[in-house]
Amino acid sequence: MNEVVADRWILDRPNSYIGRSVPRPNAPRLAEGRGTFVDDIELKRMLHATYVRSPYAHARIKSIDTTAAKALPGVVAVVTPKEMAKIHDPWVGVLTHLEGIKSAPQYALPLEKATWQGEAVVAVVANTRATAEDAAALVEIDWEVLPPVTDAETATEGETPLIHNDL
Amino acid sequence: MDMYSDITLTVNGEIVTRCVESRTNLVDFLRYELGLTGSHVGCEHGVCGACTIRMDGRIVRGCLTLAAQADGAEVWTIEGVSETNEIRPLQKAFVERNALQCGFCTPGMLLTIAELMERKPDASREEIREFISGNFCRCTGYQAIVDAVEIAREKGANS
Repeated sequence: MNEVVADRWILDRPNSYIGRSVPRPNAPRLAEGRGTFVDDIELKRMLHATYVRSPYAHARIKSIDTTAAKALPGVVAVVTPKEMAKIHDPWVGVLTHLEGIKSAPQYALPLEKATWQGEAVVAVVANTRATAEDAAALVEIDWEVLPPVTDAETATEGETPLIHNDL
Repeated sequence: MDMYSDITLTVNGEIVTRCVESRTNLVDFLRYELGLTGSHVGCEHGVCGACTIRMDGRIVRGCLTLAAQADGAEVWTIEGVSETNEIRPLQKAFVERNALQCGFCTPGMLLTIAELMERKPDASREEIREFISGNFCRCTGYQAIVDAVEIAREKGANS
């Protein structure tokens, strides 16, 4: 134990990390499976969320039917993109000190179309993870499949389909 | 199969009886029902090895094994083998060699290596790598892990 204390003292000084092994006081705990990862936390009345994801790289959302999913016992909420957009502003990933960066407004759940395969489109919240997944399978989304862009080299060329109409 | 199954099994030396949904997999059963969160859930389709559990003396994927299949079985998790000190030299070597960063893959990695050390105590570095090829580590890399196995073998004999 003295060794660890000494190491910590050394690492308290400026630049003292350079050229040294950093002690890992948490490593023995992790090596015994006694860590606490987010997924290990269980709270009273905790709910589980899962997502209905786009099976297409590029597709317009024509309609979403959540009736059957909402009717499943144990389901607490089924949230569509339009409902989600009421409670948040889209994220725009630009850096103010770098002029000219463009970033399409990104919603937690996409309003008009999915722009990559696996994008979360509908959020389902339920008492258990299994129930949430059962309900997610009951959400019906009517898609209009659009041509995907699969080559970064030709992505900016005129004839390449536009993924983000706002850009 | 019925929607629910009554199961009785031994987990880390203790007898456990529960009624589970038949579709519950073993790792979810251990984590949610028994609170043994040392076994982790990564890919949920048998690729990453984070859910590795010992069942009747052999390692299994906790995500590809149903809890109902473990009825009557003897199950050991990282919590159990830590308490019995069975893999203590290996755990010490992991810490000494810094063979973990986030620690998410570590419990599965340790149970896998424990089986290798029992089955083939003199495994070469290549063989160690091959044996842990079903356990993904996404931060430390495998060099330090293989080193730790070698350290554990050297020191294990005298500890």
